[in-house]
Amino acid sequence: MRGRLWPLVTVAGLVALGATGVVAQQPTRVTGLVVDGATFRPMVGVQVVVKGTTIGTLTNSAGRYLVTAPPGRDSLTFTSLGYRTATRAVAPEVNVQLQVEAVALQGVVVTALGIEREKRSIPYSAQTISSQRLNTVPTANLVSALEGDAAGVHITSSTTPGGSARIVLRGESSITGNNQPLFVIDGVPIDNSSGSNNGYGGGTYSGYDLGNAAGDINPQDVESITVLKGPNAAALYGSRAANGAIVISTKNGSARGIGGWGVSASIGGQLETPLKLPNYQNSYGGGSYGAYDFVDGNGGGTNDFYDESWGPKLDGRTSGCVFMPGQNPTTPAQAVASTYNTSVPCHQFFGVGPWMAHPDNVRSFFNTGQVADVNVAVSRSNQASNMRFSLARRDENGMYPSNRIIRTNVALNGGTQISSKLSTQAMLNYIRDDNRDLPNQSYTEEDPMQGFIWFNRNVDMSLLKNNVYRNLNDPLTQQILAGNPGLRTDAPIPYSWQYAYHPSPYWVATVKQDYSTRDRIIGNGSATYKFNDWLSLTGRLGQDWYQNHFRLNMPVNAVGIALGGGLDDVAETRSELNADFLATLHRRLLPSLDFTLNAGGNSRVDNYSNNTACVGVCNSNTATLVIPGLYTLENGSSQPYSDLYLSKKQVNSLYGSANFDYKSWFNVDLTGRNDWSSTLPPQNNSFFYPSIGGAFVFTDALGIHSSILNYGKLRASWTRVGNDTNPYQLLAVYANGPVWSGLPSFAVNSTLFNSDLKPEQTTGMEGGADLGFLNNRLILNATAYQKSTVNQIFPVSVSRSTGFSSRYINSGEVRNRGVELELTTTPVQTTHFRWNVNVNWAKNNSDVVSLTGGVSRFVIGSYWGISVTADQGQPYGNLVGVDWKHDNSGHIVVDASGLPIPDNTQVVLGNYNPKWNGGITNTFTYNDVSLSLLFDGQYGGNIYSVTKWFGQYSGVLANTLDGRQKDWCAPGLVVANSVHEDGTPNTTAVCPQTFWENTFYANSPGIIDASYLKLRDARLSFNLPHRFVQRMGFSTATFSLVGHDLFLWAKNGVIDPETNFDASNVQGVEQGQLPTPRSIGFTLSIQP
Amino acid sequence: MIKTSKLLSVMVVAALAWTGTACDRNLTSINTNPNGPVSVAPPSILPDAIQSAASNIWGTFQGIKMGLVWDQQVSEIQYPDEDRYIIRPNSTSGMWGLYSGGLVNAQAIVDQGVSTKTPNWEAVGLIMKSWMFGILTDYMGDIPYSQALKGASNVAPAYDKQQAVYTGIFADLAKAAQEIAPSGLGFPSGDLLYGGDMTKWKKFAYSLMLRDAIHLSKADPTTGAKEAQAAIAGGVFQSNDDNATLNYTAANPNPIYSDHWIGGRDDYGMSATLVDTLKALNDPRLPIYAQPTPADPTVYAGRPPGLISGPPNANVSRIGALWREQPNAPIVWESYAEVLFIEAEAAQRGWIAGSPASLYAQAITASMQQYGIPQAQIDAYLAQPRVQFNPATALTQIALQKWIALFMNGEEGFTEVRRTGVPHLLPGPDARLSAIPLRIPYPDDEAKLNATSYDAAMTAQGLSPTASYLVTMAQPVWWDK
Repeated sequence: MRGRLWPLVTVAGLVALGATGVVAQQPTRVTGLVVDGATFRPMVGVQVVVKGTTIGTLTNSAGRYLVTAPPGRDSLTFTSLGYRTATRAVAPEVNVQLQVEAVALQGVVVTALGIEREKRSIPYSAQTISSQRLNTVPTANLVSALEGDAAGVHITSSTTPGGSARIVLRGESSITGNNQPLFVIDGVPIDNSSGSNNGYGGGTYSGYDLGNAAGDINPQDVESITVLKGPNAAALYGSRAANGAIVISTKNGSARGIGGWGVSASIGGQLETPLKLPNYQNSYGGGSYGAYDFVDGNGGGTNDFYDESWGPKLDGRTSGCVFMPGQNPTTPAQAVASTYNTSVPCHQFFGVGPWMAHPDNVRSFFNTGQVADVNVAVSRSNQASNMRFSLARRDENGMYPSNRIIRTNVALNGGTQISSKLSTQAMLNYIRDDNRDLPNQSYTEEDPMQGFIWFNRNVDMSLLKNNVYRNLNDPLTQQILAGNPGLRTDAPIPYSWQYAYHPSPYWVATVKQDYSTRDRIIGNGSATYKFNDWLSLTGRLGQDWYQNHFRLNMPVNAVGIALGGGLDDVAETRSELNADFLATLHRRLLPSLDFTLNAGGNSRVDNYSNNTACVGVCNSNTATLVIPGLYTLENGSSQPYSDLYLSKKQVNSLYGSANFDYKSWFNVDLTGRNDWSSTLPPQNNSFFYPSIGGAFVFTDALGIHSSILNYGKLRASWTRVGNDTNPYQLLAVYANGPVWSGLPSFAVNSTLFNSDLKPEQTTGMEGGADLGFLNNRLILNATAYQKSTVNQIFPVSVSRSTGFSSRYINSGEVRNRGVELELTTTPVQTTHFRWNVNVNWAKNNSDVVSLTGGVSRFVIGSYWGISVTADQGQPYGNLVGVDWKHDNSGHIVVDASGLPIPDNTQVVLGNYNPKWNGGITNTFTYNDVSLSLLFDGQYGGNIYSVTKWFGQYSGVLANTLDGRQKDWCAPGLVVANSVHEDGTPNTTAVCPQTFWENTFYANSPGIIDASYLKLRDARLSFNLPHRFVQRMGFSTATFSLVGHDLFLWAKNGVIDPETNFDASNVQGVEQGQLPTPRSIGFTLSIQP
Repeated sequence: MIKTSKLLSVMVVAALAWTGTACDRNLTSINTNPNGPVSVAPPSILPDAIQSAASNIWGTFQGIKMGLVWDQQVSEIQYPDEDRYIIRPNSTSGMWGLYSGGLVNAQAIVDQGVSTKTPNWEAVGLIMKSWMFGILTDYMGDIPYSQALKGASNVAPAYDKQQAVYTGIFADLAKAAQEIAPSGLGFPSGDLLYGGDMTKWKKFAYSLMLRDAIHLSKADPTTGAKEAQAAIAGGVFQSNDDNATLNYTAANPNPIYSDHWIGGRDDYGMSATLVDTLKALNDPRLPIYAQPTPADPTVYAGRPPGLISGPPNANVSRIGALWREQPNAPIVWESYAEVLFIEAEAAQRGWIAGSPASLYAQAITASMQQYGIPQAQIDAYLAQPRVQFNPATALTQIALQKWIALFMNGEEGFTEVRRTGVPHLLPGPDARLSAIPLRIPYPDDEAKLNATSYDAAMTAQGLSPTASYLVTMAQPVWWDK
């Protein structure tokens, strides 16, 4: 209904405002020279544009340009990355010196709806990230590439190859909703969903991370990225920008090579090795209470089903790995009284051999990853049109054996000035992701890292690498078959070190197969009609469509996973269509007062479908493969599982913004937007939200022209943003029950829905200052903000005795307060040498102000006994679990056997949010050589590390050697500072195994401090000699040595604390992360 | 390229013009969920109610770890926690999954039975509810009952005294049995227990009434006798054909099979307590209940309860192939044999007429016939002096034989060993309690999500709201006092 009004509004606008008035004049040819203001060297490739048009050119290799300004156009802008944009009046000859600027205090920023604004006029913090780093330090994920680049941006990247990265600006504000910013490309929002740990492979065997969708964008196609951090910045994008927006402008032909063809290209290659692996012990092998003997790997021998490392000492013995008959020691006293039976050889999974350590048996599993990047872009433009075509391919043979990830990006951008009034722009991007054998991260037996936590430290990895299957004629194989009747002899028998739970990690990597692809098309087009020089109308249409296809082929005899084999096939399609229009009116109301009005509307339609089918390996389906190796649904022994899920959502919006610009030193912005969302009940589905802000350049207003303080701007703004919810949250439908003998069944939905949901509401305030000192040698941007989200829509757990497990409520308030600082300085600048420092620092406090009546804790997610919670009156993101019982003096209370007693109550053990985080970039430039180093890190915050928790339980970590320095239970371990329940000091020693296995009952032994510092990026670049490059036909050629994630200093010794469980709000949990790749490589790029 | 640019621009303008006219949708209808029905008839709900209840009760944590392990029929051979009476955090919450699983669906069946005036639907819903509530209260004592299952209209249900729960169950079962109209509309499909045979549902109602009646032998024998008499008069199971049996299928395998073959687990062995008893009595059910040890195909052995480190798993028998190795094994909710044992005890107590000796022998026979034991072996078994009925030790004998017959029925087995003290079970050497547990603690969540009612219920049962689970487990439920 409302959609019908649009053409009407458009026509009304045309009629009412359709006056015109351009005075005819002659075109002007302008020539000139552009030089660096510090070195006075000619600058190549500076963009020269006739202001208010798309007409422009680039300076040539001598720094000269020629451009023709049409009649009525009176100024030119000169733009070059890293330099302050200059504007000059049109004249026959215009020579310009450009001044270096590390962080733009002035210049143009792309803000909401693709509107370009003078930076000095905006009333909120908007940080622009240079594409220079994006273009030279290759990273697979565009979001990961932003790490450390801007204040208040918190990014956690998955260590899975091709995995997702999560980005949060200014803290978590929604308890269960999306906390990530909106991604916008060339004015049109795109999808940034993640296939999370729960995303693929269905219910039971999930854990394939296909990456967050915004990570698909090729960094080489990006011209600039603006981070609009608060809700303030993004009011005009509506609900989804309540957490800020990442506004991406892509390159188009106007940037390069006017009047001819331009070719730019880059190639790069990197090698990847594990940055950090847990510290493993190498003194004790597999087994339990000092004994191990392999018969069938499934309990047929002595502790041969134990996937732990509490066995005999790894001293090279070939016999005596079990005790004399009848001895079964489990205490230090019994251990002293026992002796090994040296008449029994040490049987292992390969036969009899020395019982010895293989210290590299995890590291050697990983290959040296190889990544190759190639980018080629061709562009052409003339005075009326421009065009850019680019092709990029990234090919990664990852560290994980057999893993390969190929991404292909094809981008076509173009714009044309059809007439003096009508211009169009269009962009089409095709992306193909092709992933083969992604490592599973579900913490099941399919997950290689789980198999290294539950591991025997004596396992020789080369045997597993060189033997995929057992030889059926081997007597040991017959022994294994006898003890494992589930193994099917109609398929090869896998070679493994254990048959109760674990397939060999090589078997998982190379025999089991998974494939996934994403085909994606992002396209948008816009047409702008300028009625006159103060009124224009733009219509824009954008579509983001993609399909993920995931396939898992699980062979028969997958030990611990699915002995009967199976397959899982998921096809998922997501699309988002945005249609919008925007009228822009710009008038001078008074001689010193400019007025800009933007008014527009948008209609967005989201569609999603998911089609899953599987045999065996998902949703508890019990079918198996009848014929091994044939992966079809028809080959299932019983009915396959299948599911189709569809959802659709539409939001219609009308919005407007008004800007008053007084003498360009005082700006006031007003915005308003009304949304109509399909996801809310009719009585609540229309919601309006406004904003107001002001920017005051006091140095200009007060006429301050000091060289100490050369620029000063104060800004303040207030915003309210409404938010809707997901589709179908109002009315329950029956859930699918089991299919029994072909008949479907249904179950009452265990969630109580709420048919009276109201929109969520985020209110944000921010204030700040942008100051330039010493002629901008020192620039400080400081912002303080608060944002508060109320009426949160989320399901709270209810007592199951109600018949339901959760219900939707519309309550709760989360408040974020914080400070962001950006400091840019150039401590040294001489003719040949420049040293730039760029510091970002942010502190955010995220507090759960209230939940709802009666609820004081909301559990966002629970894993292995730890709950990630929102607790009333506490910071968001508490890690809640069980601690040991302590007495009043803080001693650990132990039971009679000397073991700590768990305290029954659930207590806060930590919080995943850091106290602060920041990054510092140092760039040293000497003539044509530059070195840039980016360090970033966080202070504070906790992670619940299942690697640590279970790695201790299983005795694989180095810290479990305490108490077995001499032998497996000698001298034994007395819990430090412990007392019995009656208060007497504890002196009872226990076997380390007994102690660490008892830690299963408390979660505190798994909590770590997440503070870290990383050398995130290092880049050493050389500009190749000018004359040489010109002879090759290019203007510049740069060779860079680059490194990513080079060094890690972490407070904990077990894992890289920068870890991402998935992209949901359940953060602060690590379970068997893959090692972060440390990558080192080069890039060579050439420009026309 | 420039021409392409112009072509693109024409396409852009055309597309814009098209969408300008195409945006016309009713927002409310867009939000209609296409993925599930808003209402469903009971024959399509009952299969889920049956199956989800069964998987809650026979799912690993409660039915096995706190039923079959605690009545020492089965042992834990990998992680002997519950075997030592260690309760892992949140591990009892699964049993409360009955509320949001089987119970709320049974309630939906009752509600539709009432609103559409279909008595058979209401009756089956009430029987299902009574069966589940009976198991819940026997495990845990006082539970939310009269205020439960009311959704948003009561998010903090108070707990009913166990005695009140029993009163309610008896009333519901009587009502259900009387309402059943064998020729009326019932469950032409979806009845996984009786294939739509309403007469058998009626017998199940009275048999459940009889089961719950005998539970009151200590706390309220007057009511127990009265309800037992009513049950017998109404008509309980008359043969193994009447058993409440859930026949699993290859595609819907039983939980014991699933745990091992689908879940890839090997967590359970036989308990030495049961295996040794069966051996001592030369019980022909031994090779059905248990498999030979992996190490020696001629040996049956259990693992003694409550050990940190037990015998090698190769020397421990696993649960019988009938359940562990076959997906389509039946799980019997209540058997003819159990009914006969109850009748034998009721007769012995003088609650009902009949010969305890004869009922006792019939009960053992019914149990053996359930597993296809030949009559000759049954007769030989019954002829053994240690099996022969002895009026002096009748209650003990009945209880012991009932415990054997209740194999795979951990929830009722655990109830009966507590009530009768037969067999006299002792905790293992590494157990955390000095006697066997007397109840299952409430789920940890409940103390947070329904705090006021929880605290009141704990206090009413003589427990501090912050009592540790070990203290709670040592406190008997009402009928056990």
